[in-house]
Parts: sequence; C-alpha cells; structure tokens
Amino acid sequence: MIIEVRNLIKRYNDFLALDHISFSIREGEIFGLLGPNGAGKSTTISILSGLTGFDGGEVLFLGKKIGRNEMDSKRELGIVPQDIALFEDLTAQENLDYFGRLYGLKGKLLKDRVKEALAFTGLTERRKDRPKGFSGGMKRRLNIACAILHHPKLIIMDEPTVGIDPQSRNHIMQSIKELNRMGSTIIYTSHYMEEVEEICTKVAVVDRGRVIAQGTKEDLKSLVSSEEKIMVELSTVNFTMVEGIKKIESISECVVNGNRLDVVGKKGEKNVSRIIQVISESEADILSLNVEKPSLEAVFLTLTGRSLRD
Amino acid sequence: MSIFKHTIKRIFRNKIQLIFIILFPLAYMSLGLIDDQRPLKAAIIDHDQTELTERLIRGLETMAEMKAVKEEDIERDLKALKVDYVLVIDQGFTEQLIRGESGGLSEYTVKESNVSRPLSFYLRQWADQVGTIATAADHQSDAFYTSYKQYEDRAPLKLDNRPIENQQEEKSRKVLGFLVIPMLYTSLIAGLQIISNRNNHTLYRTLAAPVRIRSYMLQMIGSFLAVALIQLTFAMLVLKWGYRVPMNDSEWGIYALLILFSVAAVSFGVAVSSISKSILQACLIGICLIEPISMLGGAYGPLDWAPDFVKTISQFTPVYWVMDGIDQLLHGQSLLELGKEAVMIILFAIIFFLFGTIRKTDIAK
Ligand SMILES: Nc1ncnc2c1ncn2[C@@H]1O[C@H](COP(=O)(O)OP(=O)(O)OP(=O)(O)O)[C@@H](O)[C@H]1O
Ligand SMILES: [Mg+2]
Repeated sequence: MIIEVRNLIKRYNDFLALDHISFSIREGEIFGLLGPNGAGKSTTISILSGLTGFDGGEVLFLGKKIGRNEMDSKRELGIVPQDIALFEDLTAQENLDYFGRLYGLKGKLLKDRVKEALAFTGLTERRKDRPKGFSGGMKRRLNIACAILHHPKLIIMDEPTVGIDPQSRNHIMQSIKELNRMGSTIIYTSHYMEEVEEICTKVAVVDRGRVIAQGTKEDLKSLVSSEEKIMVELSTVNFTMVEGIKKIESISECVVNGNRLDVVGKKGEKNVSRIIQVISESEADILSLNVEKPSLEAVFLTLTGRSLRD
Repeated sequence: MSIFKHTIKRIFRNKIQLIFIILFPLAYMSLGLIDDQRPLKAAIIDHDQTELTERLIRGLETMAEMKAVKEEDIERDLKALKVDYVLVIDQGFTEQLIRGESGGLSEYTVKESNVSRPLSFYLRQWADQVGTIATAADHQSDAFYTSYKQYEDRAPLKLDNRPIENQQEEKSRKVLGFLVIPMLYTSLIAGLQIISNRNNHTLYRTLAAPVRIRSYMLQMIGSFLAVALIQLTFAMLVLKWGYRVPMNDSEWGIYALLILFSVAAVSFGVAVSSISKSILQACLIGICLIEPISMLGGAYGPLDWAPDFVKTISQFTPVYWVMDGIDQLLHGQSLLELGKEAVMIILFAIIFFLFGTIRKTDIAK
C-alpha cells in the first residue's frame, strides 16, 4: 500500500467535513475520488499533503504515519491543487524553475526536468510566456507540470480538468495515463463520471464527508444492477429468432423495435455470444450491436438518491 | 533561498511597483523641504514710551513684521492668526526695571504655536542683560542709560544663534520624518506580496513542497528587507547629495537607525497582511494605521504642543523612537548613546513579526 487512510475525521468548528473516511491505494493504481461539491475531496487532499491538520484517524504514507507538515512525505508527493496555483508575473519556465527548486532540484537536473515537464504538458513553445495570457487549458496543464518536476511517487490531482476545452482535457487524460505508465501512483479527484470511468482503476465515492462505496469500477457498477441491456440492429427480424433468444436461460426480456432487438439479461453470462449464435442460425445480418453498461452516475444516483452534479 | 530570490525578482520585475518604492520617498521628502515658515507677525503695545522701550522695540523689529493691534482685540487677532505674538509694556516698566524690580511685560501667543519662541527668547535675554546693567548702574537712571548705550554700541544684543541653529535641525528633522512615513507605506508592499501569494494559491503549493512556513516567512521578509535597504540607501544619497539636507555629521548614524527602523517597518507590513483578506483591505487598514502612527510618533513634526497623555501614547509607536533617535543624532549625540531607542525599535520589530507570523495554523484555505 502506498497510502492508507483510516477513519479520518476533520471538523471545521461544528461542521464535520470528513466523517471516518477510509481507503487504501496500491502502488501503480489510478485511484478516483469521486463526489459532488462539498463532499470533502479537497479537504482529504489537503490532509494527505500535510497542509491541514485533522481531528481523528490516521494516514499512513509508505507505511509511515504522517501528521501535519511532514517534510519526508512532502518530498514524495506531487500536488495539483484544485485552484490554479501559478505566479502570473513569472513565465511558464520560471514558474517551473521556482517550484522545482522548492523540491531541491537544481543545476542541470532542474533544467532537464523543466524541459521534460514542458514537453510532457505540450507547453514547450509557450515556455517564455506568462500564464497571464494562457487559455484555461494551458494554465491547467502548467498547473500539472509544476507538480511532476520532481518525479513524485504519488501524484494527487484535485479536479485538474475543471473548466477547460475538450482538446486540453484529452491531452490531460492521456498525460495522466502516461504518468501512471511511467510509475507514478495517482489520486484523481473529480465530479466528472466520464473521466473517472475513463482512467481510474479503483474508485471511492464520497458524499458528505463519508465514503459511500469503493472498489473497482466493475465492483461499483454491480452494486447498482445485475442486468445488462444489449441492442442488436438487424437486416431483418423474424419470429423464430426472437423466440430463440427468449429461450436463452439468462435472458429475461427481448423486445422488437422495428429492425432492432432490445434484449435484457443477467450480467456476465456470455449473453452476447449466445445471442449471436441464435441470430446466425437465421438469414439476418447483424448491422450493429451495443451493450449498455450501468454508469457510475447511476451508481451515485442509486446510493444517494441524488445526481452527482446539481 | 529560492523563495527569497524569486520574490526580489518579482518585485523588481513590476516596474510600477519599483518606481513607487524608489521615487515615493523622494517625492514625499521633497514636501518636507518646502519652507512653510511664514514671516513672524508681532505687535507691541507700549504704554511706557521711554527711550529704553523704544530701543527694545527696534530690536524686536529686526526679527518680525510689526502689526498694529488694539489691546482689546489681542485675543481675537491671535486666534485669527493676524499676529503670532503680542507684547504689552505697562506704564512705568522702565522705572521699575532700573529700580531692579521685575514685571511690567505681558506676552500673548497662541498656545499651540511655537513660531514666536525666538521673540520670547530675545525678550528674556534682553531683560536679563538690562537688569544686570541696572544693578551695575546702581539703579541710577542717568548712569543706567549711559552704560546701556555703551553696551549697545559695543555689543549690540543679537539673538544668540542657538535658536537659528535649532531651526536648521528642525528642518532636517522634518525631512527625515517625511522619509519615515513613506518607508511605512512601502512596507505595505511586503504584506501585499504575501496576500497575493495566498490568494493566487501559490502559497498552498509552496507549502505542499518540503518548505516550512517559518522558513517561507523569513525568506519573504528577507527579500523585502533587501528591497527596503535599496530604497533607504537611495533616499539617503538623495538626501545628502541631492537635497543637501544638513545632518550634523550624523549621516551614518541616521542611516543605521533607519536600517533598524526598516526591519520594524517591514514587520509592520507583514502584520497588516496577516489581518487582511484582500489587497484592498490591507491598503485601507495600512492607511488607517500609518497616518495616526506617524502623527503620534512625531514624524509630521514634534509633539511639543500636545497634552501629556498624547505624549505618553506616542511612545507606543515605533515612529516615536526613530524620530527621537534622529533628534538626538541631529543634536550631536552619537549612535552609541541611542541604546534605548534601538532596543525599542527592535522590540516593535519583534512584536510585529510575531503578530504577523503566529496566526491560524491551517493555511489550506
Ligand atoms: N476552511 C474551511 N472552513 C470551514 N469549512 C470548510 C473549510 N474548507 C472546507 N470546508 C467545508 O468542508 C466541506 C468539504 O469541502 P471540500 O472543499 O473538501 O469539498 P470538495 O469535495 O473538494 O468540493 P468541490 O467539488 O466543490 O471542490 C464543504 O462543505 C466546505 O464548505
Ligand atoms: Mg474540492
């Protein structure tokens, strides 16, 4: 385990921001922290990065208990704050230089790392410009670049894609996978389901300061439903085919919809291959086939009765 | 050290800020150079009308512009600043004086003003010496006049030049006071820098790195001190070689005292930042504090006129101690004799520093 959080409690005066949060992350994972506004994601991250104290529970980083302001653990962490944290009056390169030095980088190594981070985030051409003139997406990228200079073991990203264009978002998604491939463990915070679904290997869903579900994406989805919906578009539809499908054990429903069949069946029962087998016994050609899986959005809705984004 | 270097770099990169830091004190000091001493206006009501009083009046005429004032209007005219000083000579004053008795002279001035001090000073000296002559003449009128004339021919009573010298020191003090005030104002920039790092979240990121908050604060303060030192050096050079303000050979002492003061000033700026959420708030709080502190501390002028309790309160400002030190240096004291002033300024620096740095421990939000 690279990080273990046990029964973390944080109060702001009378307000209980974190209510016994627990999760653990293995080295090499991309761990999604998913939750609506005010769930306690940023608070958790501030505690993990040693910036905020807490009122109960414990945090273990690489097996060692950490408190506030632990210098050793700080060195191994890369933080991408939710709010863009850059000096507007320094160029991109100077920003990187500054934050790199804070982690003890200097000389040629620092230069190389700055170059690397600029290239990694696609900002090499803009390195001499100040973030003042950057687009939202470029600022977000530089915000990430500042956190990876020192090759941290664990990179914590707090909503790194808020308010940016699809192109930058894509770039960032790819970068995160790349960082992970290069060996960093990643905590990724978001209230965008699609992002978490796309990149995370494990997910904890938090709401009102509590973890309401955690596990792999599949684990979570299986919480919601044990069925899947398969849609098949065909050149022709005939009665024997429909009856044949209905006879498959795991299938509970098959509705004809023009040239399309909407089939509902128990999950994980090789429904698709069985359906194809039945169809192939007829004359019809398969034009398309879609399997609709339950989303994390649905998970959240089921667990809380609320939708993730208001 | 990288925080120190980067902060200096950023202060220097902001041209408007830099110009403000360097030129504002120079501009402010030049206000202190303006000679606001209007001619002294005096009136004399002479009920005695003797040769002696005539001569006294002639002497006073060399020092002030004479106005005519009716006795019943004295108070009104003083209040309206038509005159600064009124002397009433009672009938029989000369005779009394020759007999060796005192009295017969009444002076009227505006209480808070000290512009007429040289006149009172002259009058007292004159009366002293004339009294001595009367005694020497054995209180005989003829003998008295003879000696008095001899005395006036040989050694005409000129005002002792001490008050004039004092005036020069007062002028220098005023210009230096007008350096202390902008030093306080520019110290706010130190606080603004800290607030802006807080508000642009770079503080969050900086402290997420292996950097202790104490080290961060010390480096920030260090960088402002370096800037303050440049500002002060520049101001002192202009003071000496540009404005040619005489400093009674105490330039180095004043420089050293002001360096000490700049530590207190920068800590003050940091303290203001710690109670302000935004840059606007810091500026407003800063102005609301700096003006009374400067006024109370005597940077706008000595507090001779003020009631005692105000003088007591004024000792609770760092400005009081730096101005007190400057006063003493201008009057020829050496820096080594200013132990108390130095200690007080350092004390203020420490108090402000602690106030500015020991606060909410959560910096996350
Ligand atoms: N410094 C603070 N003082 C008081 N309350 C706070 C403070 N910081 C956070 N909170 C409260 O704690 C709760 C959790 O906040 P947090 O910022 O961790 O949420 P989040 O999950 O990051 O939300 P978002 O998606 O909006 O970023 C919120 O209700 C917030 O109002
Ligand atoms: Mg947040």
